[in-house]
Amino acid sequence: MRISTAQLFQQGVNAILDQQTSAAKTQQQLSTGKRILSPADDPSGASQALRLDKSISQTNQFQSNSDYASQQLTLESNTLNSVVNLLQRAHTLAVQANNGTQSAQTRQGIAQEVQQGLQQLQALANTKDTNGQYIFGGYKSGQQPFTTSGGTVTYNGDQGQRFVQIGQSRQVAVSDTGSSVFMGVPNSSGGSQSIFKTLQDFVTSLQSNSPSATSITDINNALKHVLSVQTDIGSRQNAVSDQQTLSSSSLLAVKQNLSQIQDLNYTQAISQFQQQLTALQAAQQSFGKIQGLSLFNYLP
Amino acid sequence: MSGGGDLLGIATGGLQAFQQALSTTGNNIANVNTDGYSRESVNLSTQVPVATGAGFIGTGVEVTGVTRSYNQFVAEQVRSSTSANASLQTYASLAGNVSNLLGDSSAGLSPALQSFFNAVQGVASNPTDPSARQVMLSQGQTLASRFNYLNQQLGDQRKQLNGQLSDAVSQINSLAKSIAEVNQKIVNATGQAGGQPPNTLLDQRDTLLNKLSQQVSVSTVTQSDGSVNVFIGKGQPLVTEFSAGTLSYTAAPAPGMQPAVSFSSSGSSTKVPVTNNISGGNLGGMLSFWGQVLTPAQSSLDQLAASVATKFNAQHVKGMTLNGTPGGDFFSASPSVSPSITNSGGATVSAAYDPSTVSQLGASSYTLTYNGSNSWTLTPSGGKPTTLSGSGPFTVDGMNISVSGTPSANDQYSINTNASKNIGVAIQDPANIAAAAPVVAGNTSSNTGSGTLSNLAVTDPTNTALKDQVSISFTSPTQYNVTDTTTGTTLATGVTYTSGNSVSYNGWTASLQGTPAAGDNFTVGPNTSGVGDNRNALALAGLQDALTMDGGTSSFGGNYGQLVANIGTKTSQAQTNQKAQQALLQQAQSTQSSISGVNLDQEAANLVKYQQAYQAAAHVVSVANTVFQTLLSAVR
Repeated sequence: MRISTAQLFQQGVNAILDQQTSAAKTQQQLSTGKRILSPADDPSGASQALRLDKSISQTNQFQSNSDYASQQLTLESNTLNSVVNLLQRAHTLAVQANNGTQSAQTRQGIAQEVQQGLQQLQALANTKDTNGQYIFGGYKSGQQPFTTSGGTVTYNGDQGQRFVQIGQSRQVAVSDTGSSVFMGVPNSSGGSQSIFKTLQDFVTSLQSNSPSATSITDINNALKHVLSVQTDIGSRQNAVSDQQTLSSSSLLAVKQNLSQIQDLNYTQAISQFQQQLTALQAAQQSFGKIQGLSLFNYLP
Repeated sequence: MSGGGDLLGIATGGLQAFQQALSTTGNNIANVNTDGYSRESVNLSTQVPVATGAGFIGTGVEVTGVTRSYNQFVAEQVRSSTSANASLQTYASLAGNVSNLLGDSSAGLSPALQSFFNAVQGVASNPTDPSARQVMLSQGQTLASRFNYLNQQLGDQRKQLNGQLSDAVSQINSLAKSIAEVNQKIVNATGQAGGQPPNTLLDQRDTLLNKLSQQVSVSTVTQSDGSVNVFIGKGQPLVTEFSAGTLSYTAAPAPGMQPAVSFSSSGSSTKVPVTNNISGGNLGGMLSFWGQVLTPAQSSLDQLAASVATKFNAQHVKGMTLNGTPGGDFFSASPSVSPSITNSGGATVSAAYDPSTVSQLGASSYTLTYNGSNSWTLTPSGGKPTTLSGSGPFTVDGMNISVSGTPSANDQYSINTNASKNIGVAIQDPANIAAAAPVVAGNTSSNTGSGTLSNLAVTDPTNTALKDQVSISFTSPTQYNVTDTTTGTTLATGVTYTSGNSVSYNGWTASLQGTPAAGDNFTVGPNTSGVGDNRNALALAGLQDALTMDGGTSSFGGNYGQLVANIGTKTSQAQTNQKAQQALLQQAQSTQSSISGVNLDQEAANLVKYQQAYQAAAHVVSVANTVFQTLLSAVR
């Protein structure tokens, strides 16, 4: 085919420009480390990357929710541990007090210790978290849940239990209401009463030097009750740490997936870049050679 | 006539012819780099021979014309490829801007949406923490301003495009005028040259036609007098012989609306709308970008902004603030209605997004017109009108529209639904975030059964009895009564109980489970001092993954991802097609260049050829002279 001089020139220039464009794109990919520079490079990949980004951000949030949940549950569990210790001591004292070898005086001594325990129990039931919120107040976490008047302890909180989202479809309770922990424990007479009343009754019986086996049973019931709450908290703690493990492995998988979608394969890109540079060089050299040729060079 | 006397004539004829051939070659060489120049060559032919008794004797050479190397078919191919290529190039580059804007991993909407919902989770975990509430408020503001930013960017794109479209239209008009003028010159010059083609003018017209096809796709018809008629769109005569028609452009007045291009033929003032007929070229590319990318992107963004705001608000108002007051709107994004100043009726129209259908919002603005006799027409900007009958309220296109008062026929109301522009955060005080629920369920401590009342949720926050104390008391393990103890109203008696029963009164719903005993009592009552309650915050956080968009198939983020993918796909298609079209254009240009372009080597060879012929002809003159001298000396 006949070729015009301008065409020869233009073709050479076009070839150089094309090679430069593709080399520049690869260079940009190499400098950013990203395969997808614009959604148009891979529309479905770009939208998948958005989805995975969201998933990573959300999972990170679930992880921090889990951290918070585990912190709250640990605080509650530690508090209940103290309650359990306290009740165990009270149980020991109840058994001791029922022993016939005790005198009115020694029972007074025991009564004093139990009285102190009762105060400590109230303090434990009014425990606050790091944000200054009462942990056993239900939703009414801003006001003191347990108050005493005339020797009777009243629960002022409500029956609200707070849940925290620790996974896409997993919520865990991070609190227990004061009523479910300290109130309504079955007593030996078939009804139910608060742990405070159990200890108060014990103190009263000691003060009148007439201890009875009822106290032992009631304290034992209270102990069982608190331990069952403890067990429940333990299983929730397990659930949280399960979810944390699950979340971190899913986070790892999602990150890998995201990297596969949007990150550059360096080996491939570098060898491609090398090829493009070689092609560019060839285009430039051939352009120079061809442009140097002209019949006019040979005319006198 | 005979012999020697003629030889001089033949020689001078040759000298003249070769001189013209050399000039033409020189002209070719001079125009080697001129755009649109077609290589010219002289047509040499033998002069009419003289008949003698000894046969025909040649009388030399003559130039019968100068022709340009040109192929009509290839020229048309170049023009159509130019139009297609320019159209795709414009489209791809504009769509690429929008695609990069929306898909940006830091400036796009996605990260703002994520951070906002993370902040909602933060409040859900720790509803009493003022800093968590503050973070949610400021992330809400960030989300709203990201919507505002994207809206503004699309608006800027629209403004810029309005200018570019108007430039393209005026360029087309001036090219059409020039072509009409050149048509005139060609017809005149052809007449003056006795039918010889005016090559330079023809080249000039081809160049103008190429420039025109860069702007818009054209078709041409050559007339017998040498002029060319040019048509655009669906046969609109842009150039007819020596006169040109005019395109005019009306900018799009509001977001979501289409710009309009209309055509009036030469000498006529009637404007015919041709927006949808025009294709190809820069103009065609801009118009299809506007219709296929810009408007859909704008309305998707508005739809998403309206949905996020409305759905979030609908849940937020079901909650209770830190101060115990009912939750208000978290986001502000309501549509605004403005009556036309020419309205003569006394009706007031109000519009609000409908929480359950808001994702069907179809445009950035609407016009509502009263047709009289209880009939209304609702027209989305750039869309098809819907007729509404009755006096309202109407639930249409994601909105609730209500009318009060009496309208007059032809009264008009414009409804601004540009939600991505209007969205903002409605509350300033972090305490006003409604993380809690207004009611709380409980059971009396003396209950002996194992029944529980759970999953308490607000269904109607506007119910005035919502926060009344309600008691559910079991008269037997299978029957219960419900009493509103605040007002002393009996709500139900003797309801048969089965586990999992849902109980719904006073704007709330809950479920009864387990095995209650006779005498057991459950309560639902106001949530007083419930600062640690996070139930509503959890519900708000749950909206992140709720399938609220696209007819219940995608979440907010999923919907946005689809928008990004959709525009990315359109861009990528345009880019691919453009590359293919560019190859076709280059091929056509190559073919044209190989026909019409100048090759310097060829011209160099021609120079040598004609120079030698000229020298030889000059030598013939000298021979003729010698012959004549010989004759003279013989006579002397």
